[in-house]
Amino acid sequence: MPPKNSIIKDNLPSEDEHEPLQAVILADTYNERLKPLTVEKPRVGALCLLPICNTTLLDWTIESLSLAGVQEIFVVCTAHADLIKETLAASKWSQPSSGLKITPIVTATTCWAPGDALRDVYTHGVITSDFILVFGDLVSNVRLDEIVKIHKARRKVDRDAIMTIVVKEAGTEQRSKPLGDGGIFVLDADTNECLYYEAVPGLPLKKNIHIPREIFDKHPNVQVRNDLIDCGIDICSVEVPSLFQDNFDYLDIRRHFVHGILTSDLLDKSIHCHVVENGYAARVKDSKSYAIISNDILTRWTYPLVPDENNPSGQAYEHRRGNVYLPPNNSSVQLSRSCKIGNNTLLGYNTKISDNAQIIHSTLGNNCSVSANAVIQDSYLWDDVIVEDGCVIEQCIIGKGAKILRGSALSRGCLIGDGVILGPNAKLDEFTRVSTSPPVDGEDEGSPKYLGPKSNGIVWPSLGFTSQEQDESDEENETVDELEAAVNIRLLRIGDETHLSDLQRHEPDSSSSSEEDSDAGSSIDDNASTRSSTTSAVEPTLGSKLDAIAVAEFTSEVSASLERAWTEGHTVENAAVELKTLRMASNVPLRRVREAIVRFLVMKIESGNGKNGGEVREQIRKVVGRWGGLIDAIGGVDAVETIEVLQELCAREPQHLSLFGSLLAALYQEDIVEENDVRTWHSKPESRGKTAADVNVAVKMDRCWSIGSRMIEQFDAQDSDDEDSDE
Amino acid sequence: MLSLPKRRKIPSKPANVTIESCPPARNLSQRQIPEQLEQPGSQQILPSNFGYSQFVDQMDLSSTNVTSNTPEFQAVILAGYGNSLTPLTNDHKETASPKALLPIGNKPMITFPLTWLEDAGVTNVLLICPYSHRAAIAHHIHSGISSSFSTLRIDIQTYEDDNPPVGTCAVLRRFSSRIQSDFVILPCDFIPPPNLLLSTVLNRYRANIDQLLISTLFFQVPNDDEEKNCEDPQILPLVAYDEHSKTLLHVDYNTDMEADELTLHMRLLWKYPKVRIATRFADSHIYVCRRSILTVLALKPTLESFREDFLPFLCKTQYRKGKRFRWESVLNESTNVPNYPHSHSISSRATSRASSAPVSPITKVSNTSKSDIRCGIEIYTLKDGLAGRANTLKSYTRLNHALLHSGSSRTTPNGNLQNIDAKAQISSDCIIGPSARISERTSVKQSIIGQHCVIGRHVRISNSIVLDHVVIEDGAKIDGCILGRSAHIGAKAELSKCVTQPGYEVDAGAAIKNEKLETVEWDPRVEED
Repeated sequence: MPPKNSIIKDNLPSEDEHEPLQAVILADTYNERLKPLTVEKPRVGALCLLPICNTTLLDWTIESLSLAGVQEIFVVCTAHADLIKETLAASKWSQPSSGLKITPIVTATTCWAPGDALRDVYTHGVITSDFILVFGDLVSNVRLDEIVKIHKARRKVDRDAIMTIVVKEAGTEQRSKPLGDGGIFVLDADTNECLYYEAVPGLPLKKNIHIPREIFDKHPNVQVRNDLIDCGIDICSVEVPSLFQDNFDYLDIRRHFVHGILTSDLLDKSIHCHVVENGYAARVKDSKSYAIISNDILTRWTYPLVPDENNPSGQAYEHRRGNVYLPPNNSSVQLSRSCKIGNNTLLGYNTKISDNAQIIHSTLGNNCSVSANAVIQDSYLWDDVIVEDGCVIEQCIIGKGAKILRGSALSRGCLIGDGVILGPNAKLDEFTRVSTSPPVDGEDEGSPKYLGPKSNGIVWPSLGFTSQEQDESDEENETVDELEAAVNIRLLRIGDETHLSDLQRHEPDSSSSSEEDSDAGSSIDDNASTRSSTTSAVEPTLGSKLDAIAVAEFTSEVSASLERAWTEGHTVENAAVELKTLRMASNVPLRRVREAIVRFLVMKIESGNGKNGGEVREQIRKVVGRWGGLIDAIGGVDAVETIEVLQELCAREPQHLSLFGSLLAALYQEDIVEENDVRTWHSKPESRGKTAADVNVAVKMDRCWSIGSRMIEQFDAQDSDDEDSDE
Repeated sequence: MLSLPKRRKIPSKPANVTIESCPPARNLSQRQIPEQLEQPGSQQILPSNFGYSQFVDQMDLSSTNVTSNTPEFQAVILAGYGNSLTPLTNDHKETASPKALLPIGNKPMITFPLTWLEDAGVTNVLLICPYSHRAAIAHHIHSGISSSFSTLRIDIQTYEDDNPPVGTCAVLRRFSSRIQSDFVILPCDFIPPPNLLLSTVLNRYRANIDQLLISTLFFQVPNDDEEKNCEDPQILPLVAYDEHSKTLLHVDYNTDMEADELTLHMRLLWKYPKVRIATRFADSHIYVCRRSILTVLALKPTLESFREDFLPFLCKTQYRKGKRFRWESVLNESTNVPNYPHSHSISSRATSRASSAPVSPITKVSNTSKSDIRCGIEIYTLKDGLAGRANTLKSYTRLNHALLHSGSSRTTPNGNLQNIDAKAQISSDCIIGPSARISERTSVKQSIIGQHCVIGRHVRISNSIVLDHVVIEDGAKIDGCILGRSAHIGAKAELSKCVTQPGYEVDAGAAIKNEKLETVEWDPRVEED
C-alpha cells in the first residue's frame, strides 16, 4: 500500500470510506481516427503512448489523475499491451515515491469496445469503491477529488445515483466544442441529473432531437445543453462494471450505457452530470483534438500541467516569452541566428534549426533537425524527424523518425507515419495519410500520389472518404456507428476548417414541409438557397475556401466532367458512370446531379449562337437529342423533378426564361418527360411559384407554369394526334 | 396590494369612446363618487373637460411620451364570451352577461387591465367584444362605476354573435386595419400582479425593439400537488426558452396527447445551446407585438389560436432557415410610425431590418447578430397568488379570494354601513358592495357581497362570491358558492359549492351540493380567446 496522501485523507468524508481513491484508465480508444499513427510497429503502438508536447498521453493522463488525488490506478490495455506494461514499469510512476499504485490489466484481444473493457474490469473484481473512469488520452487539471466527494455525498442520499459524468461548458462565443463529436445532454436544471442523452454527429447533420415527454412530468425545470464538452471522465459507483456485465450489448459508455440506464424502466438508476466551471479537461480523440490540445498545453490552459512545470515525462523545459518552450540552458538546442521561432512553440532536446528556417505554432520532438529555409507551421513533429531544405509543412502530424527530403510540400491535414521517407520534391495533397505499412482491415490503398523518388511510403485512403461499396455494406450491416461514420470523421481531421454554417447551408430542409402542413413554402425556399450557393460555387471566385464541402467540390467536378464529356465526345453511358462515381464520392442528393445536368444542357444551348427561333430550336433538338438521356442515366428517373429543376433554373436566371417552353417540349419529344409527368408537375401547388420568397422568382415560376398550362391544353386537345406540341 | 393608478392632479379628460350608435353617457357627478370612496385621501379636482382639451393633450404628452396621434403602442383588449366561466356568463332574460363585467372584488374584471394600461401611459385602446355585449360594456366604461379611465381613448369594436371569428388570430385579422402601430394584446380577464407594471414589460420590448417580434409574459405556477389531483387541472404549456437572452424558443400545449416525444430542431440548439424547458409556466396572454406580425397573420389564414398556433410559428422563424427566408422581409417591414421620443431606436430597427434581408450564404451567421429576429419572454414568479387570468371558474374564485386576503379594507365602502343591520356579523375579511342590505343575525365570512344585494335574516354566508342584485331570503345557508347576478335564493335553502347562472331561482328549503345551476342549455359558441 503506498503512503496515503494527507489531503486525500481529509477529503474522505467518513471513517468507513478509507479506501484509496481508485481510477480505471482505458488505454485503447477503440476507433481508427488517428491511424496510421497508431498502427506503426515496432515502437509507438497504442494511442495512449503517442506523444503530445513530447510526453506520452498516458503520462499526461496519470499526471492528471494524481493531481486529483487518485491513489490506485488500473490501466486496461488491449492493443500493444506488452508495450504499455513495459512503459509503465519503466516510468517514474512505478517508483515507490510516486505515491501511486498502478496495475495493468491485460484484456483479451477480442475486446474492441469500452464496454468489453469494463466487463473485464468486473471479472477481475479489483474495484472496491466509487472510482474514476477515464480514457488514456486525457489531459486535465480538474480537481476530480472534489467531484468524487460530491458524488459520494449524493450517493449517501440516493443509492441509485450510480454515475457522475464530468462535462465542461464551452464558451458560447468561440465554440471550442469539436464539430462532429458532440452530444446533447438534457439535465434537470436544479439537480443536474442527466435525463436524456443523444449523440450528435456533424455529418450527416442531425435535424431533430427527440426528448421523451415523460421526463417533464417529474422535472418541471429542465435544461437542454448543446454547449457541454464531454470530458470523458466518469465517476462511477461499484455497480457500473456489474451493469456492463449484466447488459453485454453495452459497448459505448455514452451511447449505450448512459442511454440504456436512462431509458430503462427496470433499472431505477440515475446518472448525474457535473458541470466543471474551473479547469481544463479534454481528450485526444482525433487529429483535430490533438492539435487543439497541444495548443492549449502550450498556451497554458492546462496549468499546472505545462511543459515547464509538472511535466509528466520528467523532462525540463524553460518557458520563454510568447509561450516558446526550450530545453534549459540552450545547451542541447542548436538554433541558427537567422532562424525564426514563432509563438506557442516547443522544441525538444537536441533539436537543430538551420538558417532561415521558420518554426511557428509547432512542437518538435527530441533529436529533430530542420534544414535551411524550411517552414513548419501548426505542425507536430515527433522524435527524430528530419526536415530538409526548403520543405513547407502546414498543419501536419509527422511520426517518429520520418524524413522529409528537400523541396517537399505537405499541405494541411497530412498524417505521416513513423519512419516514412518523403521526397525529394514530394507534393502531398491535403489530408493525405502515408505510412510505411499497407493499410489494414481490408482498407484499400489510396490512389497513388507523388511521394518522391526516395519514398518508402504507402498512401492510405483519405480519412472519411472510404469507398462507396464499403459504406454501403456498412449500412447494410449496421455495424458502423454514426460517430465513426466516414463523413463524420472527416470533420475531425487536423486542419479541417468546416464550420457549422457550412454544413447547415447544404442541409436539405425539405422534410419540414411534410412536418407542418401549412408550410409548403419552406422546402422550396431551402432548396433555392442551397441551390444558389452550390451554383455559385461553380464560379472560380469562391476558390479553395469551400473545398472541404463535399457538395461544392461535387458541383465543380460535375461541370468539369460534363465539359470533358462534351468536348471529347463521350457516350452518354460513360458520362453517366462518371457522374455516378462523383455523386457517390460526395454523397449529394440526386437532385443536385439533375440540376447540374439541366444547367449544362441550358448552357450548351445558349452557347450555340442560335439567333432566330428556328436556329435555337435546332440547337435544342441537337443538344437534347445527344445528351438528354443523361438525365435519366444517373441512377434514378424522376421526370417531375427534372421539370421542377428546369423551371427553377429558368425562373432564377431570367436569361434562360425563353428556353423553358421549347426545352420542355424537346424533353417531351425525347421521351425524357411524359405527359403524365407534366400533369403531375403542373398540379403541384409549389409549381406555381406562389411559395417562393422572392417575388421576381415567383412571377417567373408562374410564367413557366402557364407555359406548362398551354402544353397541357394541347395534350387535352390532341388525343391521338402526335404533332409538335411546341407551336 | 393592487397598484392603483397614480392620479395626476390635472383635469382629467372624459373617456373618449367612439361608438357609432349610442352616444357616450357622460354623467360626471355619478362617476365622481366611487373614486372618492376608493381614495379618500386624494384631492380630486373636478374635471372641467371641454374647455381644456388642448391643455389636457399637452399634459398627456408629458406623461406618456407620445407626441402625435399615432401612439407608440396601441392596446388590444379581447373580451370574449367567457365560455369557461359558465354558468356565470349565461344570458339572463335576453340580457348578455359579458365576462368582462364579472366582478372580482366587486370590480368588473376589465377594470384591472384598463387601469394597468392607464398606468403605463398606453392611451389608445381597441376593445373587441361580441355585438351583444357592446351596450353593457360601453355603459360600464361611461358610467364609471369603477375608476374613470379618464385618459384612455377606448374604441369598442364588435363582431356578430352568429358568426364569431374563431381564435384570437381571426379577431386580429378582422380588425388589423384599426391597429396602426406596435400593439399589446391583453385579455379582459387579466389581473396584473401588484408589483409588475406594464411599463416594465413594454420597456423590455423597447430595449430590444430591433430584434423582438413579440414579447410574451409567462407566470411561474407553484408546483402544488393539490392542483394535480383536482379534476380539472390547468393545462400548462411546455415552454423552451433561452435564459440569458430571454428568448422564447418553443411553446407547445401537446393538445393531441399522442406525442410522447418532444422534438427540438437542431438548428435551435446550435443557435441557443443552453435551452431551458419549463412545464410550470402559464401564459398570461399579454403580448407586445410588432405591427408587422399582422401582415403575417393575413398571409397565413390557417392559424387560429394565438398561443397555440401563431406563437409556435413565430418561434420557428427564429431558427428555421426556410421560414426565416420566407418571412423575414415581411416581419421586418418597418412600422408606419412618425417620430416620437424613441425614434432613435426605431431608426436603428429600420436600418438593421433592411440590412438583414438578404442572408448571404457565405457569411457565417453569428449567434447574436444585430438583425436577428427573436421572440422575447418575461417570466414572473407569482408570490401571493393575486394575479393571473380569471378565465376559469377555479381561477375566478381564487382571484376573488386572493383579493379578500390582501387588503379588503380598501374596497369595503364604509359609507354603506347604514344598510347593514347592527346585529349582523360581518367578519373583517369581507367586501360588501354599496347599497347592499343585510338584515339582523346574518353572518358573512370570507365572502364578497355585490351591490344592491338583499340578504334576509339568519342567513349564513361563507367562502362565497355573491354578485350584484342577488336576493337571499331568511335562514339560507351559502357555503363556497358563486351566485350569479340577480339570483334568488329561497328561504332556508342550503347551497354548498354551487355556481348559479344569472337570475337563477333556488326554491325555498332546497339543499344542493356541488352543482352548476343553470336554466338554459349551454350555448356551444366557440370561445373567442
